[in-house]
Amino acid sequence: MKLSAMIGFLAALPSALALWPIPRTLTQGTSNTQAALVTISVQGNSSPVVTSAISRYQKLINGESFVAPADYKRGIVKTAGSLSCLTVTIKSADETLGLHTDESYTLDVPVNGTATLKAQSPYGVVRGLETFSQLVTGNGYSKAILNTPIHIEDSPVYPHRGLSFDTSRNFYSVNSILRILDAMAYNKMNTFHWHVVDAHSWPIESKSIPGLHQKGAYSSSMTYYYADVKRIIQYAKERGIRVIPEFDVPGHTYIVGQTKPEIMSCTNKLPNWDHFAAEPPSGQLNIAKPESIEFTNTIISEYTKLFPDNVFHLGGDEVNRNCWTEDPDVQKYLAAHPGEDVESLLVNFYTKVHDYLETTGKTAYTWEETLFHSKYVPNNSTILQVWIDQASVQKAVAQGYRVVSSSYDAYYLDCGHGAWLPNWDGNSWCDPFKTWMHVYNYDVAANITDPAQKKLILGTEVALWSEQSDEHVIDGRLWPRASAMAETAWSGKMDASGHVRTTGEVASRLHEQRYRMVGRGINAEPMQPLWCARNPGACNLP
Amino acid sequence: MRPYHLPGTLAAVIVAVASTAQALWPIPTSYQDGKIGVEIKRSDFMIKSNVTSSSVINAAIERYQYLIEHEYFESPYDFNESTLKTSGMLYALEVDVQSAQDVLDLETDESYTLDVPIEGKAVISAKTPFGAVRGLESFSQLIVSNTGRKIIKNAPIKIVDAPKFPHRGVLLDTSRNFYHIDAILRTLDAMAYNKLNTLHWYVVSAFSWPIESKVHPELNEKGAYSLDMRYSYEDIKKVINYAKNRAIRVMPEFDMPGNTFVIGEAHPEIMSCLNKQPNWDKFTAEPPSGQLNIADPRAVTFAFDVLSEYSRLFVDLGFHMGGGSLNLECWRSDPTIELYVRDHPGESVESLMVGWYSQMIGKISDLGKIPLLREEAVLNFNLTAKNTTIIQAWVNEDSVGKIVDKGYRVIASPWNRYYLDCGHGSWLSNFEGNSWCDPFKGWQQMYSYNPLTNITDPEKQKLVLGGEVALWSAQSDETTVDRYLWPRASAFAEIMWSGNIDPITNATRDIAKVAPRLTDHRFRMVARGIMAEPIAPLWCVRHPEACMHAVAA
Repeated sequence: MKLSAMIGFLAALPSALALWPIPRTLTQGTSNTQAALVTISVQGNSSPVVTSAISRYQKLINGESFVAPADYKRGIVKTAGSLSCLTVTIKSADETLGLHTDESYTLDVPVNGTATLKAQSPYGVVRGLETFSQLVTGNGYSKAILNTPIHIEDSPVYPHRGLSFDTSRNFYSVNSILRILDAMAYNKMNTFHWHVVDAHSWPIESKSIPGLHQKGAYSSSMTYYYADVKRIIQYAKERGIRVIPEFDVPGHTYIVGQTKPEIMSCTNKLPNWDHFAAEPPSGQLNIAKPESIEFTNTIISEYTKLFPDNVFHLGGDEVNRNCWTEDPDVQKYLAAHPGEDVESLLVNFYTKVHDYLETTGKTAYTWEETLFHSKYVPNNSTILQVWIDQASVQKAVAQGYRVVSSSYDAYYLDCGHGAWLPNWDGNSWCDPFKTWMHVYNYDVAANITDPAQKKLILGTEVALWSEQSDEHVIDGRLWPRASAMAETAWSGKMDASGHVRTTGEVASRLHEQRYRMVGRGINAEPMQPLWCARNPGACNLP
Repeated sequence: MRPYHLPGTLAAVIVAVASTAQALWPIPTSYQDGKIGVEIKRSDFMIKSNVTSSSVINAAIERYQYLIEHEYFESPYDFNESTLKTSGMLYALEVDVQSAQDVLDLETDESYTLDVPIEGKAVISAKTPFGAVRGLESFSQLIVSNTGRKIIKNAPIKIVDAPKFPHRGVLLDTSRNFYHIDAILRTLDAMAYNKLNTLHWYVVSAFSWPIESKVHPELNEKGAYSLDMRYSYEDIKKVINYAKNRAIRVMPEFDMPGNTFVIGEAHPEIMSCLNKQPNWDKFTAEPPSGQLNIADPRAVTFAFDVLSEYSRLFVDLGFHMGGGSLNLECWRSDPTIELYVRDHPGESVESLMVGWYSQMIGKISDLGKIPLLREEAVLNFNLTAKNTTIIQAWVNEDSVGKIVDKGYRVIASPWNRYYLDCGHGSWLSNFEGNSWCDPFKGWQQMYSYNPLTNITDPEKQKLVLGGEVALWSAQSDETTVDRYLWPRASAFAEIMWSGNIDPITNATRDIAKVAPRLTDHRFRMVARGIMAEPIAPLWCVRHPEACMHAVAA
């Protein structure tokens, strides 16, 4: 290998070595290596996550024969060597999965001989194997890795790279969730934020209050039982993905009223539900009743045990004041307690439930309204999820909170699909549709210069609210747009030289990732006519 | 057996709100029902016809026999329904057809009647095999599953049904991205579930030429995306036959002279403004640029070859010659055209274009076909075509009226209502704007549009043959086609089949009332393997009154 032949960075290259997301640093040579059948083995320490990742990728790599759309005329490349083994080593077998998990890895592919993958943790192995799998390309009847020798050093820019996923408005089978986790792993995403319940249904088994799912799930077959949840968590863990559950209180809780009508306010007000809720059916926990806090703490107690992740999302979005000010029970309570009002009741509610969550040893995760639209001051270990305002990220870090952004204007994947209320032919509230280019161009750290504040940005989450989605349409709604976010969260906005990557430059690589996902059984959307995928640059706006 | 009311004595009940089981889609013209549940005999339920010589009928019977035997559909509303009482047994369905003649065109009679008694044998009567196909679909939608049995609720039932418009189509673009035959066949299945009757196959465009050509094999060799992304003659015949068995015409479009870059891969010598980069936008609405050189006689000869070859392969009487989105700058800037115009005083790019269309219309008429064209040729360029020509309106809703005023027959595809690809953002990789036809067209947009709006003269109304929803495939392919089409094309299909006026109440059909029935139909399609989109949370499906827009209501 001649140093002069090495190319410092990939951004300017055509589709060869079109990894997604792009590694932090990558050097490559000018040879090609045959890789017909690769045996992956571990040297030294191992762990169950490593073992399962090896067997998964062993099967994937040897079964896959992918050629990028832009390479359709490539023909068979000559190989200068061959590779039949990949050796994996890890420093620590610790399988703790959290914000501090080390996902870094180093991958070396020589022209001839044995490839090596080195990682600090089992999860670095998971990421490195995905990268390795993307290097292997079909070559006639055989397979090859192009542009060897290759040296990759890689690690994520943000520790929280997520998908917020709503299984309440419409149901998703366990199998469809597992398929989503597969696709997340193909994009090195690491957080499945499971918005499991909402106003419309309570699809998760509750052992402490069984009425919740018995009366609140769409049907018994549309219920996630404990065994299902554990299976999802385990499947995610094997792919380096955390599962953070959200139990949204005190709003978005109409369905709780099916079991506990006595703790509800403004249940299913009609026809003017819009006075009480962002969407029908209306209903919020009655915060003037201690039983509402008791209920919430029962839920926290139960599900903090079921979900092992040390972060727990308590919702707190879109709380409607009219729901309470017009509730006779709340009015009666306030009349009897001078000095109190709906705001003080809400502070009391948040204080009690957040304090209780803290006793379980978990970190609270909450929508931005809990801080910005109420008088409650969350404790400073709380993680805020912002969605309303581009300026919210700056406001949150300025106040010292850790933050994850799901800015609706960039990241709400359900937008732009028209109204879903049947008697109205208007647009969706968050029109227009968020294209992959729009997702890609969002910068969570925009206008934040203080390094200490930058550190408080944990990452990003795209969100899929399911009014108009279910398992039959989910793949195309998520992919490849979530892939666009995944790259900016893993690789950052800039390359090593400080150049901000543009959608025109990365399109060809994302095409490749899209077709790769389709080949792997994920029905990701096409971004353009295939002609454009094959002729990079020819379909750009002049 | 309990006494029941005879259909004649019943007040006609239209299933506007689908709280009952008879959530037929599209809704029949006339529908009467009773109060008795009947069970379908499971082991040997027979469908038989008086006509045994019709391949369309034989195929339809085989298909629905299989479907009825294997389908276990429960309406999403009936999720906690207990065992329903039934008091009769249905053991057969008889399909009476007057004529075995199976010509499929604009005159085809698709009407049928369906009688479901409370005991014995149901009867479909139709004038043609294609009416029988429609009746069988209705019959299959009457059957629901209830605690392990298959039943029909509310018998006796009498349906008298016929379509409002003779042309109820889906335009599918297979050039920007490719669709394997299986995806097209699946789309034909779904069209039949919605009583749609025309697949407008936009088979080629600038991006690829996915269809085999025996006259110019180089077109397909150089223009298909790959060897396995092409339609052979056999494939096309398979699609046409599959469609015919479902009472669906396959009308091809060979769009010329615009949108033809891919022809230049084989024949650059007959092209103008071929793949101008990077300023393609001066020459075309989308890249890659390229139009046939309308001043070059070789381009005319070539186009004649295409018309001759494919008018034989596609048996349908209608042949669409495109004509949309032409760019005059492409020709004005072509030196050979400049020269031609200079040497021929009185000629211009516009006159060349009118001459082009006149020749094409003449040729396709000589080949025994009915020409179809997009509206620009007659509305923008003063072409006077034969009055048998059918014009496709797409630029705006008013175009429909303008076209019938000129005496042409018209198909309505206004983009602001019927373009299913809109609202998905720009697809140029370096531009993060919206799609040109933003916003997304929801099913409500399709349902609340009536092509006859502002056309009052009954003679002119007759010129409106129907409509087509369109899926342009810049951002679609076979992995996404189901949810792009369904259930939005279903909303369109009902207005096309049933009309936008309820004939009993004389009221305009209301989006607020149809959602439950549309949802029911969506779930039925999903159960039949069509991955149609959900239109609302399932909770709203079950509580239709609770999810209305408060102000609009």
